[in-house]
Amino acid sequence: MAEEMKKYLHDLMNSTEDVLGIIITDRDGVPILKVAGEEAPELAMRPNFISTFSMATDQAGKLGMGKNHKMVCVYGNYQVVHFNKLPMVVTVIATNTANTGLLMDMDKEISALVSQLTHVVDI
Amino acid sequence: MGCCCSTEPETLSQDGEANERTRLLNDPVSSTYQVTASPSDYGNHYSSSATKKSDEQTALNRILQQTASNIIDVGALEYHTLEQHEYIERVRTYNQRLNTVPPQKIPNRAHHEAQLLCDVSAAERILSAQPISFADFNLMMSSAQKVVAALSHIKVDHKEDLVVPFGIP
Repeated sequence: MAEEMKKYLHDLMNSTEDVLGIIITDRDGVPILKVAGEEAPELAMRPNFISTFSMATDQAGKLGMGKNHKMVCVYGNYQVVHFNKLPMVVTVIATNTANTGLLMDMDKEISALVSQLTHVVDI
Repeated sequence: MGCCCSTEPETLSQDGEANERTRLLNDPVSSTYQVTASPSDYGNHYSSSATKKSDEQTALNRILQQTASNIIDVGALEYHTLEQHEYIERVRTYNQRLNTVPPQKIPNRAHHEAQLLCDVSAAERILSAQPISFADFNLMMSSAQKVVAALSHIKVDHKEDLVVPFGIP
């Protein structure tokens, strides 16, 4: 079953242009499922990078505009889109020229997979 | 008709019956310290005040918790650094749980509604590219028409018989 889920993520990554990696982690950045190409930056897949989003999304949800769902971080060479699926966090890493709207639209397909992983993480 | 300030002396009702001059509210000055607690009332009074205190405390705690959850304090965020052994243990736990996931249907990525260009990975890049020039387009059209015309003129020119007898005695 884990292999099928990885294959699904792999297909999703390859079918979207300029996507370098997709990682599903818990709120501390510990990976649950991970698919990444050779060009994906290793630093962006570390727990101490991914866990900053957990804190940021909690605080952003207190701004009076409702719960925070996604965050887009655009850097010089890459862009990173985080999805809040607490208790899980999904991180999509792509090149800086990738279509950001397309990356954010991956939410629907990722949600279908994440809904089957809720029992894996202790809430 | 009465007036607010009358010069006539106030005449209270001698029977104690309510009339137009009977006070609706108690006199605030004289009624403050008139609560006398009899010995039989001590127990009830104490339990009701204790209940009231605990209710107040609960309400205060709830307000405090709500405020603490709503407050945004970026400087006070505690960053919990995962230790290596804890990280490895969690990864192992998640892998075990992943393998015990009951087989469920992986959502099919094919959509049911009709989608144009769904097999093209970067359709927006191709569609937003510069279109070909009008000269190129005309060249393509004229060349295709010439090819179609040339194809229609292909015909078999029958010169010899198809069946040829061999000269075998």
